Amino acid sequence: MILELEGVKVDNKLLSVKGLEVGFDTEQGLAKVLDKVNFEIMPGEIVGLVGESGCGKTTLARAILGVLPKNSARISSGTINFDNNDLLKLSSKDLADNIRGKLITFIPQDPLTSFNPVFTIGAQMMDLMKWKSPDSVKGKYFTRYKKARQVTDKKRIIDLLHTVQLPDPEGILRKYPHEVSGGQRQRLMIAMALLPEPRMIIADEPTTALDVTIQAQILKLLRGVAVDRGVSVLFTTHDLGAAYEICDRITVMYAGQEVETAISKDFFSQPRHPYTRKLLQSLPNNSKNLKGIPGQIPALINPPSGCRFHPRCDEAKSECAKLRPEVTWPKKGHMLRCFNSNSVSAKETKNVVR
Amino acid sequence: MFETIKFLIKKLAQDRTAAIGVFLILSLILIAIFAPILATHPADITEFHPPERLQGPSSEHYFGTDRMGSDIYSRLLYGARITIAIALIAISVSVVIGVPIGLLAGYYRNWVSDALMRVSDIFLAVPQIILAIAIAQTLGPSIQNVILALSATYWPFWTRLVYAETRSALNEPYVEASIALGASPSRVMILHVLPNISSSIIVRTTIGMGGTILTAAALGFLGLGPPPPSPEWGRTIAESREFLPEAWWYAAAPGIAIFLVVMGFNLLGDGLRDILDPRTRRSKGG
Amino acid sequence: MFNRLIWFFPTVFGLLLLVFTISHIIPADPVAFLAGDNATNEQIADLRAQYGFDRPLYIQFINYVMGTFQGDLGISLYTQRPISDDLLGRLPATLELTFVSVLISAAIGVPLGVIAAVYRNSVADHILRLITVSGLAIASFWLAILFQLFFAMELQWTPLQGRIDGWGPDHITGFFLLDSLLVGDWESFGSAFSHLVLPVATLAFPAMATIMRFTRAGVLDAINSNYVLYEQAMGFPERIIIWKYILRNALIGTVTQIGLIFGLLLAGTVVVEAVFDWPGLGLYAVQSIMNSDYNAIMGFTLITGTMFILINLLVDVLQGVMDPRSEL
Repeated sequence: MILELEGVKVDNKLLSVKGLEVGFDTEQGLAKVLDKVNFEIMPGEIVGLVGESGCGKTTLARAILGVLPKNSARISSGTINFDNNDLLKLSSKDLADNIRGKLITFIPQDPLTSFNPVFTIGAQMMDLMKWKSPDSVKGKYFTRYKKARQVTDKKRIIDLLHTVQLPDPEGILRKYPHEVSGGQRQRLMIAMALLPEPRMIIADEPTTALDVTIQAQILKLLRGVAVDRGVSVLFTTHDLGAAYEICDRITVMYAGQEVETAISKDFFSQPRHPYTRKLLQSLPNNSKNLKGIPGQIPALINPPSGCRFHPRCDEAKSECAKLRPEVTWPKKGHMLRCFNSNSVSAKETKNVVR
Repeated sequence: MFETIKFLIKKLAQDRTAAIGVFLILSLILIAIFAPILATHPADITEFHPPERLQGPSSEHYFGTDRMGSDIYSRLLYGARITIAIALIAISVSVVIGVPIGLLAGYYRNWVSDALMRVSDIFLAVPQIILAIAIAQTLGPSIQNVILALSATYWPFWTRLVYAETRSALNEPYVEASIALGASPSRVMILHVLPNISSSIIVRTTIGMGGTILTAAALGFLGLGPPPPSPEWGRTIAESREFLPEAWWYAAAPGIAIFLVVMGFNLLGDGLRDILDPRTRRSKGG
Repeated sequence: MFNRLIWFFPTVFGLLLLVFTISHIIPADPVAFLAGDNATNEQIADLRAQYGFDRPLYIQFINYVMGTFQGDLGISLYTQRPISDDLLGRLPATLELTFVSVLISAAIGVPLGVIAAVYRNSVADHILRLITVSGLAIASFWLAILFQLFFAMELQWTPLQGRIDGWGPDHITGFFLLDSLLVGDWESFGSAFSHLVLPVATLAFPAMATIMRFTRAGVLDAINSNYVLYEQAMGFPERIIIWKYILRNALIGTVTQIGLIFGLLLAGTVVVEAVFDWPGLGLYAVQSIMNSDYNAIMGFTLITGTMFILINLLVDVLQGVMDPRSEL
């Protein structure tokens, strides 16, 4: 379900991040990891957050969830509006009890180490249900897990395991995480992300740790179940091919700044930001135009001023170093932050096809 | 080589607790060396003054006098010599015996290695002090026998440690390569394996000093150490028992001395481990 | 796992050999010692034959091993009684002391280790680390004497030494605490309890320090793991994450150290029993040292060594059970 964005305030946005600024304390100083980032997801949408390692996509995902490292992360400004509540204003207990695992769930990058190795899969899933099942009721001092609810929850689990195409659900529940394969583990993660019937799933590079042959299956599965249930997905990745598989809309980040957002079709056929174009050009499929991007991702202790891509940008102008480009909407639903003319060159119409 | 030492010293200075450890150990060494000068009553190591027995701390006797009237402070200083001697020699001997055996056992995988490891396992199957008691008691109380008992029960620890580390070092690609190129066993062991395991050995030696001192003191306490009139710390504590609680200084002084010395080695050892083994750095402070 | 079980026997056998070897490196002649200064050579020879010291070494060894399997560890040169009887009689006292010490040190050490890890680098953590380092630097016998000095002599809160006043409860298991509870002998229970306080405190202190250190490390490792991140991301309550999920993982590492801790405790019982006049194996060893009772020392070494080997074996098995990733 692809929604057309007007670039105008739309009140039924599910998630709206505005001006989020996050820094990490390091030995060398404050690393400015997110520079007043804006980001949105509509209900039922699958949005890809794309960029190289270190661009801040994982930090953004974690900031939304509220699980940044307590000791070193500093959120200096911005709002994270989820369903019209600013998550940054909620207490951490409130976030943990009511938002995380209930309204927003998580699919991690490495399913092997994300499962607790000394408990069975079934035990962990039932524990999740104890606290996060749609039927769960939080007691004042301790939460009881009534037998009747255990039965219905168990059924929910089995049904979902069928949905994610896992054979022998009962058997899997009795196993330990290291006893099942990587692909199966990630299907389990998808199932666990769906069990609480959330409104949004944050999937942090969910296929990076998987075999190439399985990646496509998992991606299709994830898209399928999300669309079926009308659940939004925030999908971070450095793999444009994966983004192509399942995203409705894609946002590109570079060094802590979001630079372009477009629906999938427009993104691959009419990229407007110089960085986006370079990214697409550097894909192995474009063998004729194969180019790397000269230079390196900047250290974030002292990032470049203005648009952080300007040192590596072919089309950089003098304004680029002074100010960060404002949000512009060159086309309906296509957001761009760049000082350059927004024309699209006809050469860039090559599609990326796996 | 000097670079590493300089680096080590710099890193140690940054770690406060390790620096305290270094300070304590250096103090111990200095006290041991300069005991005759620092002592107020150096003759009290062998002379007795019964009329002055069991006096409390005073300006003349900093830590009081013991049951024979000797100055506890002076005897304590000389006791430092005994402590260092026993610990240093025992550890050195056990390392010198245990490490080569471990290297050889790790390099040559044959029935001899297996047998050696079984023997080590047997020694290690019993807490050190219990075997040491058996040996020391059989041979009689003297400083040499204590050293012997401690060395004889400590070498298997090194053997097993070095054996395991040698085995894993042998799996390293560069070691396999040098063996394939025809390097002789001793060359491989000395040039390749030893440098890798040396940091582990250094750390454990330092920490081991603390444990050895405690065991030696326990042996002295049980009467298995150097016989009277030796000012060995453990024995002094044993002597003090019948005069408690009145002559509390008699037990307090040597006990605090032991505590400070062992603490020093433990702190230094921990500090060294944090520097030399980055994996554990995480759990300590990071 | 079968491997481990099988290695038990050769190891114990090796221990026997070791003990036997040690006992025969005596420079002095125990028989002459026993016989006294005025004995004639004939009498000494007779005594030697009586104890079997005149046979070739290997025969002596074989006899020794056979005897051991039948529970005969020889006769104490001092008490003239079978050593095994002496040891068996004193075993419950040491076991009770050791067992209670392990319980206390774990009950205190584990939670403190968790707290130290969770509140890493806080004031509490530094204080606890200080306790840990001190715990491993204090000589047990000195700590025992300090406790006696302070709590028994000065404050008179606990008895000075011994295991109990009077005869103790009726003998069922030999464990005074248990027995007095079973028969409802409250006076004995109270007495046994108060006598346990100082010895247990002394023994448990270094053990607690070790347990705290290992638990802290295990919990820190777990805190930095991906599964904790996942559990947090999915909103599990913090206290469940710490006390259920993390602890279970950290405990595996701690359990592995129980062998080490037991070794610490066994080593400690020798001096602690000596200071507190606790009628267990350790005191027996100390008294045998005083009396130059070589046989008794060897018997003691053998028994404690075997116990230690056994405990380590059990720990291996336990670890295999607790960690589903290990190959049993």
